[in-house]
Amino acid sequence: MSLVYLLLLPFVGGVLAAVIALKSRTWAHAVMMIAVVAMGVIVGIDFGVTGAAMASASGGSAAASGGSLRYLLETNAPWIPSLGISFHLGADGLTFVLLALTVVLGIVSLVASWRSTREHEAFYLLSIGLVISGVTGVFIAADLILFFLFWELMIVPMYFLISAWGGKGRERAAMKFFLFTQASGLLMLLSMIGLYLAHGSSTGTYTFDLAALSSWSSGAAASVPMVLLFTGFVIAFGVKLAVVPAHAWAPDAYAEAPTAGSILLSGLLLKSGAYGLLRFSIALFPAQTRQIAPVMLILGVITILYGGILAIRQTDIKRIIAYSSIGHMGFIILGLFSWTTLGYTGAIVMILSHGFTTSALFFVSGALEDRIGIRDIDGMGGLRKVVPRLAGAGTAFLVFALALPGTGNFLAEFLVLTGTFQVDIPIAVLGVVGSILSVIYALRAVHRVFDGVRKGEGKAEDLRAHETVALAALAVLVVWIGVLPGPVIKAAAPDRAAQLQTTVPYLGQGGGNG
Amino acid sequence: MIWIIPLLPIAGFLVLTVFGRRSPWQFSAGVGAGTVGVSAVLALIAGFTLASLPAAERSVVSSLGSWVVIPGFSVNFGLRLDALSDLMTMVVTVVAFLIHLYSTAFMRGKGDYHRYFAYLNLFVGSMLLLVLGSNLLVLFVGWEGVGLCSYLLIGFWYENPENGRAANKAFIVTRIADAALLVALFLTVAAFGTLDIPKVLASASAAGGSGIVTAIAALLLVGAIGKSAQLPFQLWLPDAMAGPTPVSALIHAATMVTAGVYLVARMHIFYALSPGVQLAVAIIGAATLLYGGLSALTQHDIKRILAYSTISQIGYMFLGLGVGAWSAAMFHFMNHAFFKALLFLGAGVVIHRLNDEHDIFRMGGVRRTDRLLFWLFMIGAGALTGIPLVTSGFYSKEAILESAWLYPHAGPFFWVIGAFGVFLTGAYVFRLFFHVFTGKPKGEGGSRPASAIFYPPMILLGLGAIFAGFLRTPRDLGNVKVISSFLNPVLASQGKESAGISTEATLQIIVAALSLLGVLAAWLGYRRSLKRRGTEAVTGHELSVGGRFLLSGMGADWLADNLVVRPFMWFAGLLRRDWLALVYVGVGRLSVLFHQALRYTQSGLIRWYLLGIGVGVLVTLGMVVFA
Amino acid sequence: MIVPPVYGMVLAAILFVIGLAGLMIRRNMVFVVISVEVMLNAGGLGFISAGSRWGQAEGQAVFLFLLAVAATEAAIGLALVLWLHRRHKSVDSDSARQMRG
Repeated sequence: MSLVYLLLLPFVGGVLAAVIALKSRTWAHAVMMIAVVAMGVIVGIDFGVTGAAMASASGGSAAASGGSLRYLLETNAPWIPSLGISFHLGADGLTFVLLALTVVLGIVSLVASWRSTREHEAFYLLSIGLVISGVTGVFIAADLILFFLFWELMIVPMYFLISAWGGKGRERAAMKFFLFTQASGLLMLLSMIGLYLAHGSSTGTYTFDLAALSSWSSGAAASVPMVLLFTGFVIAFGVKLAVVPAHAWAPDAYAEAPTAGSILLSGLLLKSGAYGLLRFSIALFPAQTRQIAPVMLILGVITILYGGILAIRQTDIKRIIAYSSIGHMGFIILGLFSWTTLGYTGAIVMILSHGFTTSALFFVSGALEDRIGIRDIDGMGGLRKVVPRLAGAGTAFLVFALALPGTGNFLAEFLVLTGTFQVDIPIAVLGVVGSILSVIYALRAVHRVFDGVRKGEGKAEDLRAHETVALAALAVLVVWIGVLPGPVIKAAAPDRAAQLQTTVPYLGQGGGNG
Repeated sequence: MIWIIPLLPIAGFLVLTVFGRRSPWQFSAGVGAGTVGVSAVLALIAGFTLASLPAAERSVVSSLGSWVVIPGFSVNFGLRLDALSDLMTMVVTVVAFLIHLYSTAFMRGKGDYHRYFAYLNLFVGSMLLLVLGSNLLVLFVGWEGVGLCSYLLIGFWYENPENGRAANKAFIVTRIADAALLVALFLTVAAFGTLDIPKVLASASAAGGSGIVTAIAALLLVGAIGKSAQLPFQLWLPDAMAGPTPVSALIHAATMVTAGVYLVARMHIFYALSPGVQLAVAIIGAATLLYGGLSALTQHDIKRILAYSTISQIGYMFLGLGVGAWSAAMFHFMNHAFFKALLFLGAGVVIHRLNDEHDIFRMGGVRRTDRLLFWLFMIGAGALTGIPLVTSGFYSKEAILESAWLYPHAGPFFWVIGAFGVFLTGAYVFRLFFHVFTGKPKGEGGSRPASAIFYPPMILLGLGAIFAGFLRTPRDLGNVKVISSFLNPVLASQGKESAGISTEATLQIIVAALSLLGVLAAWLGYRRSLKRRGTEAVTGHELSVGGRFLLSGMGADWLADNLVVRPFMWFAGLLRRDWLALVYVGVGRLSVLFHQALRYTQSGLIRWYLLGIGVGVLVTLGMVVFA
Repeated sequence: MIVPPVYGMVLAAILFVIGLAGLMIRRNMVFVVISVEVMLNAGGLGFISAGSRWGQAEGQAVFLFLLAVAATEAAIGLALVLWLHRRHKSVDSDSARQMRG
């Protein structure tokens, strides 16, 4: 039942906040914040309780057979039985990790929206609530159509967020975002229906339930129709993850979205693409995913390099962060498709760590834009003297983003590349080159924005208390993941009593040592 | 328990970051210098404890817990205190503490006081992690950490964009080299399944001289020469002088740049097993030694002379590593830390007194205003040159050159280069010395008073510069082997033992003579330049073509700029527009085209629609009748 | 001499095509209405010829229905033409055009 609460809280919170916003802005924000924090509390309690139970139960006898998903927490109720659609929600360790990320980023995005005023505040809060609800649903859905429902639920309010409260090129950016994700989502829907029909005609039961379908399809013979179905899913998730060459919507969307929108977009929506690859394409089509891995590795490294090089000459600070984000997604792809425990672990760590760093960076750039009014780094300069705390935060997070050891970003990149190295040496080496590129653009940004002498005039206020707290918390989180990734790894690890599909044999590192 | 040593300065960093801005300067000074001081004391205690242990037991491992544990790979937060890491820890903490003390006076009024000490503390903490790390990942954390602090401190005076550019240059160049180091780590994990240093070294010995071992050695070398500013990665160090002088003393002379030396020494088994790569180490060392020395001869910025000198002296250390004289190289590191730090701190006093003047041709006669500094600087310069018998530099260079002579691959050739380097060293450093300290003062004068706090650290360093040399003397001069026997469990020396007393003595005399000749050459050069320019303040920049070539570091910056930076930025600029996204713009255009074509069907003409109906009916009838 | 019914059908077909062509091509709405009449009558001729061929009276009966329908349709059609004229001051069908393509 608590999973349903997780879905309802942001939605109801959004509605309530929208209603209250018509009278009092501050109270509306407060209500929304309470809703998200309540979500966090539930996630924490659930995870703590079920995690402890799992630990005591599984201690040792972790040998999992067969291909069924084991959930820590589950809710299952029939919804449209005639079509085989059930209201099935399920959460395992990986889900909890992602839910934690959702809560944190939800809070950060609300903090970022706290002070700046805008029109239609009610609708804004409602949209944020719906996005958070949609993302939560994506992470916990265990039925394909339900998943698709929440997938769409993520996209539509985000479209509104960008087009109503965004920057100058917002309509185009919002439209691009919507068309790309919607079109790829429809392909996914076709694949889902195809899978449903194939499963039904072969076993007689027509269902959209993930567990049932995955145990059937992972064992099914490979054939052209299966490959086509698989492609539908991969394209949808690839577009969402902004893999080059399907990344074209991302830079515009990031740059033109309002700060909260960028935070949710980069931190959560993109991760839903990674999650989809993990949970759906690998679970449903392990053989095909394995086959396509070499291609995806190449695409992943191209993404890293392309994102890095393009970030170097941008002048809009949000675009720099956008391309940097795209580059980091490349690492996630490398990690997932390297098919090693090292790579997989690195991908998970990157999902978390990148979520924190990028949202902090968008927070900082939003703060800068609020105070100075421009996003163009050529017009900035000397801000370290004017807003030292903000400058310190900006420098710190840009340095985190270039994978300074001790941060989660570094650990993630290191694990991913070490894993990839055992599979494909040239690609790993190119990945390291990507990390050189990140230094170049990050330091260039820091230099142009914070060093030197101030070009414009006017006072600018330094970070206020609540902003400092939020950024400090994010910094602590990034370092915490880099230094103590243990809990996260244990939660998301595939060897932990079949928490993930075990028909996917994530190998230990090659070479057979240790 | 060893963990306190690096963690204390890091804690200092955190405290200063959070509370520093609003606290009085004494707080920053106290926390900054205090944490390092305590670490220094602990390091010394640990050092003497270790030294008293028998050789086989001379190591302590301490782990704070596991870092990453996944099937097939695990790494922990491990520190390992053995002879090598302890030597480095003692030197780093003591020198760092002295420089912190000096900075408490030097940095007053020169910028964000608390920020300076925060960064400096973080640096010391990272450096300690680097040398104490028991696995390559902790080492790498420290490695990048010092790189970050170097970046932060070079660009400390951020209002001048030049400093930021120098900082970026340093970080980017070292990051490129670090990429090779990362690949070495990947290769190590792939080949040996672990990053734990003792295990890796053992596996390497077992593997013998295989291709993988050679590859790892080569990649580690690339990483090392980046951090240590050896050819061809040396071009960031001269520009790094943009940072405050104590920073240059600590980071860019005594400690961070020697990290590469530490890395090669620590992983020496890889080099012993790959003679080819080891030869490369020696060649790089020799070439850099010459490069640094020659370039230093023409510089006129006091700090740049010392920067090129550092490049050159680290070249000696690499030469030592290349010929298998591991402990000799570390011995030179220790001595170099003392006298180079002394020289930089002394230069700092000069710069401070002369109101931030950096050009030696505008200086002169400092001997009259600061007699103590005159003597201290002479000690430093003498140690750097290796004045025979009384300076540490003599003994450590001797140790390296001795082994170079015995090196099986063209040993004497390397010896000659090293010996010539001694001559160059004497020449360039005493050129500096004479121009700055002797003669009459040039320029407008107007001396800024120097704080008394400057001198005690320098005095201590000076004592080190003289007496540390006696820890290892050649066979014919007392045969003291304190350093080498201390380091022996970790760094058993490689190569032939000796060449006979008489050969050794001859070689020593030649080198000693060369050092004195260098000083003489400097004196003669100085007199000649005085005659040519008189005693007025002149710019003194009229150099020959050859001179200008050397002044620019043999065109290194120009080469790097035009061969690498410009083409790359042009390429990046080309791509700025995101060409791959144009595909989708094309899709958009295509649909607009369809729209344009199809809109004519919506003509609004009744007869057009009737035509449509008619045609449709006919077609349908046709299908029904004929299909 | 009895006219073979086939001739009637052929004539009906020709008339139908002429009517259809006129319907699709003519701009003047009055002529469009006339063309519709032609088509209706052609259809009626077809029915009569067919009735004559099969010797049944239904053909004639349908023609009577047709006459009624044609009259009604002509009335409504002409009413619409009158309205068109009132609105656009012309009987040109092209004048009732708001979409331009």
